[in-house]
Amino acid sequence: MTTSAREPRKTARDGEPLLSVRNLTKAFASRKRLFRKAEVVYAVNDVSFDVHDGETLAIVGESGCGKTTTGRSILRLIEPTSGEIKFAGQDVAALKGSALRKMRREMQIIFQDPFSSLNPRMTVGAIIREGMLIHGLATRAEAEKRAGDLLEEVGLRAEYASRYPHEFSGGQRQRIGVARALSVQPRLIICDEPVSALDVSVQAQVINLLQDLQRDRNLTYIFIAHDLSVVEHIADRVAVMYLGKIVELAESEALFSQPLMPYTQALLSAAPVPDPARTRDRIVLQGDVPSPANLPTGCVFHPRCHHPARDEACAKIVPPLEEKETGHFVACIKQPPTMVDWAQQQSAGGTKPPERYLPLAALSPSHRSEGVQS
Amino acid sequence: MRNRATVATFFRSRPGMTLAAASLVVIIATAIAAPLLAPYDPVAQPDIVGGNITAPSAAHPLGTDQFSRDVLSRLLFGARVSLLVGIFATVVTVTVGTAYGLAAGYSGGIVDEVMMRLVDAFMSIPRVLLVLALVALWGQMSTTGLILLLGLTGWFQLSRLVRAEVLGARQTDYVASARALGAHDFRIAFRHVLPNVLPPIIVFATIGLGNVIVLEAGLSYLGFGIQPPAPSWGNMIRDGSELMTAAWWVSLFPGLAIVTTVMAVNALGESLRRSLGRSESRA
Amino acid sequence: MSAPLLTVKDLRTYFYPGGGKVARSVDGVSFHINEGETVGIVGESGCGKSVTALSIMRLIRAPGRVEAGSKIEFDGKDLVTLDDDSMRRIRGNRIAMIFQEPMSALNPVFSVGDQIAEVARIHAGASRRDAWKKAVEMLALTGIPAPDQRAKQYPHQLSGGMRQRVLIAMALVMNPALIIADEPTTALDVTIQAQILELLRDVQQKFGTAVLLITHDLGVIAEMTKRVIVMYGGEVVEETSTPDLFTSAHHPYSEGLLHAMPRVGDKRERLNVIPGTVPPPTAWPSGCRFRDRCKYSWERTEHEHPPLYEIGPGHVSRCHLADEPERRKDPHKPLVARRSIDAS
Repeated sequence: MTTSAREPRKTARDGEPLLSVRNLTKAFASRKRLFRKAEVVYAVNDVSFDVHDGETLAIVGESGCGKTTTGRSILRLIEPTSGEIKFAGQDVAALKGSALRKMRREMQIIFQDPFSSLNPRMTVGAIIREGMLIHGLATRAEAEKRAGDLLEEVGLRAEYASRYPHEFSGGQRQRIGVARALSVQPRLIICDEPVSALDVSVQAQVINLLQDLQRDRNLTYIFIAHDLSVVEHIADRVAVMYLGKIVELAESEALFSQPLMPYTQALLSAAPVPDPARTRDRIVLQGDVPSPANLPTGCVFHPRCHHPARDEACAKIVPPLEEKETGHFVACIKQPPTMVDWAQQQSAGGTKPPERYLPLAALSPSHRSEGVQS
Repeated sequence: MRNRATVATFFRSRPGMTLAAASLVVIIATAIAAPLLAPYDPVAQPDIVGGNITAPSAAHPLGTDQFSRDVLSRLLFGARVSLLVGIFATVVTVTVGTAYGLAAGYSGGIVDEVMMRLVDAFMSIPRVLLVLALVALWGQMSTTGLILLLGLTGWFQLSRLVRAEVLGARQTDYVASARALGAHDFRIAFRHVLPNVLPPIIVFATIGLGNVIVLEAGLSYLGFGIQPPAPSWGNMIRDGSELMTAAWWVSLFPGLAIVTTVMAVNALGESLRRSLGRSESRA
Repeated sequence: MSAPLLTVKDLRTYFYPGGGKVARSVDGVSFHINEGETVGIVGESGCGKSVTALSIMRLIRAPGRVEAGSKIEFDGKDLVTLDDDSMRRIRGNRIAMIFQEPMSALNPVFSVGDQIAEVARIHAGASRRDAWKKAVEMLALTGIPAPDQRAKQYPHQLSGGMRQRVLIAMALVMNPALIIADEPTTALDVTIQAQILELLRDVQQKFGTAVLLITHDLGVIAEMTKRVIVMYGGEVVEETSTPDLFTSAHHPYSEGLLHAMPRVGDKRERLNVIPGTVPPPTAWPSGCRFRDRCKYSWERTEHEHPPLYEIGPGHVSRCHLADEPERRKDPHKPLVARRSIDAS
């Protein structure tokens, strides 16, 4: 049971990343209301990250943090306002027309809602064949055969191809969605909360399926989720988003054993743990997430922050996403080391010098001993 | 509906729809078979000089009009004209309205804005006035002309409806997925969006058919539609309108025919709306 | 020991969707809740947990009905046979309910203060002024900042977490003996969920209210309850103390649920799955309802419907393995054998 299901993957970290996102921003102009100016809402605000071949990068955050918009912008299902998206060396943001359609073969998406993601008027077979036919990957007869194979690969029966989506349960529909994504043999799949609408027992089936497929087909995943337990289970690296920004980005192990951004700490400690013996020490954040139309100045998290050194400087200085340890990026000027030195902070009204803060409550149980020592 | 059993249960569980559909089938069948069923030539005037109006009798079950023409025969042939105009005008309406709505909803942005403001402008003119104005400009109406006229003045509302549905369907994940698969806009519009907005279009078409039949009758009544001596339900009512007290049968029967047909069409539309809506929410 | 606050006995709630079908959504459920106790009901969608809650509140509408022979005793009255008037006096007064989706549980055209005040007006006959004062007081109690201003706002002006606080305030107005909370935090984000669970715990301690907490989340069960009922296929399949469930679950379904769940703190390893899906309530399998998905099932489970076997004090399980323990080929490994480091 404790044997790791997967070998640590050999990823060519030194080489070119498969996907590289730089300064991605998506601004929506909210609809003009009577007697009111249209306001600009930054759903995604200057987000940068890399995804390496064969890895799973999770993007986590609560509703409205911009994780879904980020995923869809990468696929250009939503047009990004600015920023650069490079996939296998190609500039995705600049692609148009047929070049864009061709590129889409390489990147697919699996959706959260198993009900609205399948066209109710198409048979399961037609849904799975569509991509192959569009890209001319197969003749009709071949496509039919391959649709059957794909259905079997995702744990369904080949005969299901002639049925309609409404004849299936949520978990089965999710498998059909996976088969559709696989049909064009993509390299990257964006999984947009693929299991959050499913029951626990079915959730486990789909997660295992995704892991098997990744192993067998050397897929790369961007796994968007709000459930940290699922993320820890599946991700190699994790990016935490809050109000349109990445506030922490680290190897999964490092993030769960040493969450350095106070928001990540709160998020980790908030997840209910199925262990009645665990004492309830918990960071309970006060208040609600501010409206993205009216972002706090400085650090977007400062109004709810529990870091003991939080002060005026946090409200003034926008924290850069800095590498605090190798591969561990954090946007917080109060977690040393930081490039925003004490003098700068003081001149911005800072009164409390940065200090390393890692509350016990933020650590997941298995990481506790390590966490306390470090 | 893959086999007979399900078709049977489909209709058995919807008695209202079945009745309406059956009446329409009968009406359409009679119209098609009019040459076989009609006892007389609808335009023949056997007694031109006398212009003899006769009350319903064994020889003329629905009587004759002031030109001594058989009302039953005219009614049967009139059904052909009324239904022909109604159905083809509706086809024109649905085609234009759906295409326009699909185009507007799918393009979005400024194109959509302009297209919809145009529709708003058309919709600000009452349809009857629009039709009358065009008739006045056009002069004599052929049947084709009438079909085009009625069809092309009826699609504004439909285009708005289709556009709204398209906007809704465009937001769904299955459309996003089709785009992610690399599908062309054209393919998305016709393969993914259109089939899912079809139910409200069908309902609109059915109810629109009723409206067009009434409108055509109205035009013919006013003398702008189907020109005598060719019979249509509208001009038959007009023929009898001055004789209401003396010869009620001349106007009454075409009147009843219109009422029955339109009621059946509307009832069908209503029950389609309900059952299509129901299956939608279930899916 | 005094009589329990609520006793549900052989509750059967069936739905008749037409076509001669019968959905036996709740099929012979029995349990009790003592005063001031927090009991959890856990299970996946379609297990009957929400229908159980609605049956207690008598909010089952046609084509569903609570079958004759079912008993729901509360305050010495049988809620199944109680007249509508008396039932109305119990709802919102002695038993209050909190729903999953706070937006649809609130009326969009009245201010939240009005809606809370209404409860006081209906059940306590309070004057308009007093009721409003009470509403503001309840909002303050649930930790809403500036309650006198918030009371004047409408549901759409509040966030999801705020709305859930409003519902809790509404539930608490009459200081009920029992609160039924049906997935109260499922629609909320984790950090907001933490706030709401803390609030529920606080008010429960402050008022000594009994809570029936319905959820699919074993984490919530672990944190909130002392005793837990696992439901599957419209039946209670296991009932035990909460710590017991996590250390020594007996029923293969409970076991499966515990193992299927990814949890923070577990390194990446393959999740155990329960194969298949929940059967529809119109066609429960014969014998044991879980047998199609169970790794132990043998021929006895096909034709003999298992009773609730007593496993230990206060621990029952609807599984023939209690009778034939040697059939458990792969003995249960307790998931929570380790004690938390901070507990020591």
